[in-house]
Amino acid sequence: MQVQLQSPPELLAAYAARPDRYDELCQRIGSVVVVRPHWREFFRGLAALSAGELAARRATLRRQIHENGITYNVYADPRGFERPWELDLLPYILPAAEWAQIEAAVIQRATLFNRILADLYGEQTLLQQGLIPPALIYGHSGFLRPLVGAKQPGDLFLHLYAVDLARSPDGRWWVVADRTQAPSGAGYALENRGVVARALPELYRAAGVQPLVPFFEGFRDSLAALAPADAAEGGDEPLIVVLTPGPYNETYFEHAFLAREMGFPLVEGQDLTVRDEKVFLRTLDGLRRVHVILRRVDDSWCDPLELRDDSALGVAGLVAAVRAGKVTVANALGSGILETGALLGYLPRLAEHLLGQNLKMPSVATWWCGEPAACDYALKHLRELVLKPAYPTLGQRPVFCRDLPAEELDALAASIVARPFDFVAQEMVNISQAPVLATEDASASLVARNIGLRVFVAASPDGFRAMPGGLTRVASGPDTRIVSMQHGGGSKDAWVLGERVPPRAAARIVPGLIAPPERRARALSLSSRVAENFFWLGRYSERADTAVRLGRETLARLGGLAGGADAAPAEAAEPGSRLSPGAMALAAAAAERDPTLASLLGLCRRIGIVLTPADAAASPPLRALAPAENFAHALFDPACGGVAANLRLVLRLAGQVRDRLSPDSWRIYNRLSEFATLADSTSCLGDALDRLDEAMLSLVTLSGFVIESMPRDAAWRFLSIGRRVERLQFLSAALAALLPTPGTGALQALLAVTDAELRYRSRHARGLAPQPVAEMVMLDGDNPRALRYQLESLIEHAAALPGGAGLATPLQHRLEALSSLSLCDCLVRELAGAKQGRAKAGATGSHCELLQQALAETWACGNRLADALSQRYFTHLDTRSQATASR
Amino acid sequence: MPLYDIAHDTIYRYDSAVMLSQQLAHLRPRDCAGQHCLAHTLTIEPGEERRRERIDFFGNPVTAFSLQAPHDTLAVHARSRVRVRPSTWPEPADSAPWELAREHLRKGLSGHAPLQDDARDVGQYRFASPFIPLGDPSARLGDYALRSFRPGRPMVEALLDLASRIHADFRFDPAATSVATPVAEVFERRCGVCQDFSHLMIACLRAIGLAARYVSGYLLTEPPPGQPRLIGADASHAWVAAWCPGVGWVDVDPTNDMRPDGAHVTLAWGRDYGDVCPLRGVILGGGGHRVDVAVTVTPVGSGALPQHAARER
Repeated sequence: MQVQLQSPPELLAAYAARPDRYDELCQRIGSVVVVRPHWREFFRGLAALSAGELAARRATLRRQIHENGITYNVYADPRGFERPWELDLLPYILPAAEWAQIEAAVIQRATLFNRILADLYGEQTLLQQGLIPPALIYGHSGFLRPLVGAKQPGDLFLHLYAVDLARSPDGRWWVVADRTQAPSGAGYALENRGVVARALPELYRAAGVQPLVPFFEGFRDSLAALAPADAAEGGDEPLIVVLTPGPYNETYFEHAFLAREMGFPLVEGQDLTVRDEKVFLRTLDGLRRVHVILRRVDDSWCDPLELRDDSALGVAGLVAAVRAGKVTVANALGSGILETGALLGYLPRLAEHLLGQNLKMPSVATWWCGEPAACDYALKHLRELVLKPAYPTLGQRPVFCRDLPAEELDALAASIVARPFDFVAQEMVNISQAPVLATEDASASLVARNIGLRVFVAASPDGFRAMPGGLTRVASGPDTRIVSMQHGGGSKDAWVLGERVPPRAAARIVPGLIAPPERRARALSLSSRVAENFFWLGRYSERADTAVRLGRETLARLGGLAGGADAAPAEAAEPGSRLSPGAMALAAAAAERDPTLASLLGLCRRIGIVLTPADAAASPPLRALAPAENFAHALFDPACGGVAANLRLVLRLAGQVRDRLSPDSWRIYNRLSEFATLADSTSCLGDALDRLDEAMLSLVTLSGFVIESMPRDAAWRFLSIGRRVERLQFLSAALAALLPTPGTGALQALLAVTDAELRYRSRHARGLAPQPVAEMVMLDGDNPRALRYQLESLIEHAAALPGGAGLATPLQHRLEALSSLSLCDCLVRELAGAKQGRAKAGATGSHCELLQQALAETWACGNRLADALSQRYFTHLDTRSQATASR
Repeated sequence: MPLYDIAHDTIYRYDSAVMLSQQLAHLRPRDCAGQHCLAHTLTIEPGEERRRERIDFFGNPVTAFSLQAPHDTLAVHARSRVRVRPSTWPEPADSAPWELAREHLRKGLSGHAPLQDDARDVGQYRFASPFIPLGDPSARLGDYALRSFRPGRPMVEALLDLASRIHADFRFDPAATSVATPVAEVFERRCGVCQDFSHLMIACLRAIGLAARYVSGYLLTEPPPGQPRLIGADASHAWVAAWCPGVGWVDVDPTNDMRPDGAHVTLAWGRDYGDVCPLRGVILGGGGHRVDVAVTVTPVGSGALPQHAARER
């Protein structure tokens, strides 16, 4: 069926409305199919864009998803692959009047569910009156008996609620499922809005779309208002945290995103502890009382003491703290019980009983087999129904009965008869379809895909409020029945037309613009886990930086592009040689003829930039390339410990502190991910050097960001300390390796890897000599790549840490020792002697030995500082909990 | 009426210091029909703990305590004096057909009608629970149970028959299982301890639509002269109670194939072991640990309140 009207024909050429589904875009009037009125203005705007422009918009959208690092399933794959978020350029559009009905219905449903929870965990009159079958509750593993009788502040159990809606062929909306314990998707919806509004700015502005941000602001204010009564006693604002299962959770991106946007610390179970029925956050300054926990951990995993004892994600004693009224958990523990489909059939009666209202939006027809009449119906009509488990612990997936062979259907019927309480039968709904920009072909065209809408309701100080729009989920293929991000589907932004808010608020469309609350809590000290992550983030960022600089210098020398007269290009390996001995072995052959190269390669090994020959030989087979190309390959092979391997660690750590990284810095991290994988282009020496230069630029951008934009808080201190410790050790190793090497090539290399060539040349016109080079790299107070600078800045950082004065003393001693080290004439003579080849390397005198000793001591000083920090501030084994039980 | 003194000692020895310990103790015998706890003390070493007493969802007294100073040993000494009245037992053949219990539960729990008080309580014990999942193996457990629960058979008679069969078919072997051994594995390997046999029997009963609960308690340590020493007498013990219309809860001990009658002392009950574990905790630190549990039950009059339990398990 072809669609007619004002749209460019090529855009809708492949779009087909279907008689058996509701089409969101088109409607049939008589014999023609036309675009529905609320889509027309958008389509006029879309038609104004050329195919090329549309492609460019889509590229903008993709780039933003990449740069913002929007992922689902982050790190859930053991191989470390992230799945980028799937988002269609076209929004899903709803007219204001229709939205108003949906809004009223979902707010009514949230209100109803909150009342039901209050009864189930309170008086249980609904069970006594038979309004909810007791079996449904007693048989449900999500009914948390330790929480029965626990009071919730404001009688609010459901702070954030999500509901999955679908539209049937006659155009009515139905509820398919409810999410009541820790609903996901609200953050993704906000992120979708930001990305689509930026990709289609003129269409977005013209449409007058209702903004999402007030929804989040209301939610945040409500959480603050529901802190326990004793929260105000300390005089501080209540501390609200987001509790996440951790970076391996499929929606971790969203946890970090929401925490950052709403201004709450993101914590894991091990960051919290319960003392005297109060919850505390472990920070560098000691324990800080936590008043409200917005949790993304499922009900029964929240407390290993009273709930699942095998949970490592929870907080032991949390249930007791809730019972004592000392902490507010949102949503209330135990609210997951309402997610069962078995309840749906009872909601109309419950709405009448509890609210005195008719249920505004029906649920998909559902029969709980625990009720005899429903069971009979389900058995009679089994073939037309979808069978689901009544209790989540049963764990089965939905069964579409019409797909089953006769004998399996009989077996299913027998199970229903034997265990009727366990089954829910649901009607199959042909859900509606909406246009999606086809991804396959280059010319822009629209195709129809099945969609479902996840709508969010949150408490606000003025009562429940719905997010205008929500997360539109799109089926992965034309005939896919399930719409779910888990099953590989995509998403859309949802635009509710008819903006009703003042323009100032409406302007805040993009993430990052949720207005801060009027009063801020006292600046929070860092949690120990986050401090440790920042320390290592600093170390690995610096190590990546070192890998690039040292890699570049070594590679240039291997390829004969640096170093002047004493360097010659290393010969290519014999073509067709059967066994490649690996990058280092080949390089070693070249190094025999070039002492500077030998020292550089030794330095690479010392700081773990490339693995030893034996290790490298075990890595993926290297083609018989010339040594330089082989070395380049190793630098970008994640298995070899070089640039790629260090960047991977950087990205992993950045992911773990994501809620504390600004969107801009996150974009820089994302750019770095391009250098964290093995690329084919490194097979050519020039390409490899280019790639190193590009990686260098991104790393410099990152450190520039740290200097210019990062607030000077504890996170910044630990990041800086990590960087300084790493650089301190690299400089010690570089000085020890390159200063005694014969010839001036090594001195030049030393200046190159410490970025000091220009400064040296402007100060010492005479040319290269060991003494001034050593002076500049060791003791020049103005050189940020000198040892002195590292030590001085570490002393300053250490002294600023809580209780850190003691850490600075050994650093001070080290600095004095280095300063008093006489870089005197004897040393110069010895070194110069070595340089001129009168004495062999290694056979230098006592002054050189003193120098080597001092440098080794400086390296060790870095290790001792790292150990001391770990002892004093970081998470220890004894903060991991274990469960015990006696018979 | 028998009067008993009970000593229940639990000692944890940790490899390294425990920094924070949070514990839940089900160690105070509950009052119930036929039983009254006259005195109870709970001593905790190293002491200086924070305590809170409450009654749990199932009506059992529970003590929550936490130790916030480093320690490498935790000792919990429970001392109780309990009066037990031997129960009057219904004549097994006179009880109602077992299907009546199943129907009563099904109707009472499926809604539409006001819930009667008995069904409200009984309903808690009719369904799967964390230690007693009723997934696929339930069909086989149901078949096993149905060989005792033949159509129309009086409920108590069938119950005793099932307990006898479990006693005959399964071997008592403390080395065979741990606290965490699943019911399905016990059923497969045909051996275990009182906790396993109780879970197994409860699973059988729930699989055919009946309500059954897990009872944690004690047995008299030294039997009266001329009688054999019972299995499980030197540790905490467990058995089963099943619900029967017109009679109420009926206790039966599958491990010893007997009806508890004056020599069993009830500590607590719940859906399974997890609800009434005598001492359940979460510790920070500690490394590995060793636990020793000793239980002594002596009739009062035969001697003074025992100072310390002699037998260790």
